[in-house]
Amino acid sequence: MELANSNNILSKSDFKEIRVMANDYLAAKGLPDKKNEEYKYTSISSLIEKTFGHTLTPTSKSELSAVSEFLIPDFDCYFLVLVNGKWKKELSNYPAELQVNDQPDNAQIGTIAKIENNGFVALNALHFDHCLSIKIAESSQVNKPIFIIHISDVQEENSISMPRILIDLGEQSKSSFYVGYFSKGDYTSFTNAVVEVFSGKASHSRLTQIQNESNAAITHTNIYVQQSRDSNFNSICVSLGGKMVRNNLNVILDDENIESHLYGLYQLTDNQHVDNHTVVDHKKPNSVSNELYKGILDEKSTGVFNGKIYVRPSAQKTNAFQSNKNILLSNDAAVNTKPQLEIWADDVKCSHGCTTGQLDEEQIFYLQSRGISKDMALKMVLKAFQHDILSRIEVKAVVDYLDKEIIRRFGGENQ
Amino acid sequence: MLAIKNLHASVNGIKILKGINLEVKSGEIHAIMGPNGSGKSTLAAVLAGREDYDIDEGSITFLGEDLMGMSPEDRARAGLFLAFQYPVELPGVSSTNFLKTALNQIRKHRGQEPMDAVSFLTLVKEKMKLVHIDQSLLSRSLNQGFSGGEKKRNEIFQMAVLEPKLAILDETDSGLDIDALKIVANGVNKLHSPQKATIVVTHYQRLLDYIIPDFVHVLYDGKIVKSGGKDLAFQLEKKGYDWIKMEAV
Repeated sequence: MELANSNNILSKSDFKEIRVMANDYLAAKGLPDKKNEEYKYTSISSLIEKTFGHTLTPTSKSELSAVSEFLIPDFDCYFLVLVNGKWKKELSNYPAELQVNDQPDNAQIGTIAKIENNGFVALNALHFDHCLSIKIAESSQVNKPIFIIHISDVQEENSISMPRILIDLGEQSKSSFYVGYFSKGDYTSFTNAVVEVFSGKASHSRLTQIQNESNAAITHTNIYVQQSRDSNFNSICVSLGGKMVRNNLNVILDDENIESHLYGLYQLTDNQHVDNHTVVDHKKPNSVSNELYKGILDEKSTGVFNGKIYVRPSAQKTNAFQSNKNILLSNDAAVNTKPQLEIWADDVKCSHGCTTGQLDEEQIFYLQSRGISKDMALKMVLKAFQHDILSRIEVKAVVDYLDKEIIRRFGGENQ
Repeated sequence: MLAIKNLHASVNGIKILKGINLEVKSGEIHAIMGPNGSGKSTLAAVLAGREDYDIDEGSITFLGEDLMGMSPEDRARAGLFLAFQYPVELPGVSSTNFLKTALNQIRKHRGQEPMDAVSFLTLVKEKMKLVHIDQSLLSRSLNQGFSGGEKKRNEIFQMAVLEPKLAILDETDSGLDIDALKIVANGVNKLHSPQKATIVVTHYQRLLDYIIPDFVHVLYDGKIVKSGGKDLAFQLEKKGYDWIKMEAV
């Protein structure tokens, strides 16, 4: 792929340094393909090349002037809108005291989402239009969740988006972020998002991602989180849409007494493919991480879960748990799951487990034997499986919305 | 109420039931006893409609209808209830929601309106007393993390709410201490009436001290080899199953 050496991109005036680095990286290495161990099951670069050809310049055209259809009913939040990766202040709604900036003079950009980590991070660094930065002031609490809405406008043609977001959480602040990925139209979109989260000392934060794009969407997210001492970070990623979705979530526990919770739910059908790669990096002692990803796969859909946990030599007294559970609803669906624990410290508690199987016939029969139809019994069991993750979302309106979206996408009105 | 005629059933080609004949009338309590592996639980599962079993021969009619053509849910709606030997855990399925769904499905079948939340709660509170179930169990996932005794009591509690015509208790006594056994038996007795019938499947005579059967049948090698009154249970308790086996041969 001819990704680099595009002079007009290098003519961008901002972030010159990282753009040059990104350009050099891509010229040398390109995007990772199937030969790369990390992309063995997810050939996203060849799919992009097939769809978009060799140049991956973000789309600039969009006349989208309203976003009400993407708002979640009864979800009381501030919302920040990006269309095709570009910041749309005029479509957003937030109070002046929320520190939102589209031209941050910020030395933090690219410090955790490093160019050399991954070709997709480099690709984003080369092309992103503006970096949307949200800063939560020290010791402050945002009174409503902040909902970042990303819309791929594909009403008239394919689109390419490179959203770039920086979230800076001040010491002892408390906040809850939602990121929604949506499509407007039926053409193919490629969204390559980079989100950097700096979780300050003793901050409490949540990042809930809702991937609800059309089934033509190709999406790669790159989420990098750096946690400081005593901080608590909670990630939930719900993937319902997309043709091919790859989520890289990297959490660095960079000090002591940190808590990290990583949850995921992916429900797929037809030929959908979702790949979650997570890295939890325990660098210092006395921290806790807990990870649970669950999948429901129907038809010919495929899923990948790769969970890396690093416990560095000095990270004694680490507690790290990981689990991946999948239900296959068809014989053609498949999941590749791989836990990868690398532990250099000796006084730690770590565990991992994964299960993949059909629905439990015993459970279905038990419900039937109480007068509940087989169809409804299946739905009850699946709903229970989903809600193991969804119930961790703190806003009921969002959970209700996801329940409805699951029914809309996968069928079956419940009860 | 229930008529089983020459019932033959197998699982994966292995014959388990080899010609069962049994008639149960309204108001009767039948005990089915027998050594391990005699086919007791298979009989209970076949009656409830488990799909793993093949019916090779014979017939089962329940309230005049051919039971074998009915799905498990239709059997339950018609008034058949199986108290499981091993109640299944359903993580994430709320006990209350489950029971309300089940009850309303059965009510719908009977041509009744769905029960509203308030009446349901009143009903549940009343029935919980019967088996000394704590209300906190209802706020938990169905059977998840319940103790053995709690699971068995929960089965009888469900039976009390769903009000079946025929209750089949599959080894409901297994794993219960004497106090829990009394509670469960007392619940079963209170739910029994001249319009209803009960089949108690058990290995031990112990339960029959508290649930007094009208008839006792001994199942051995897939057949009922001996039937009698409640005295038969005492004989089995004293002499074990060996003499029956000898007679059967």
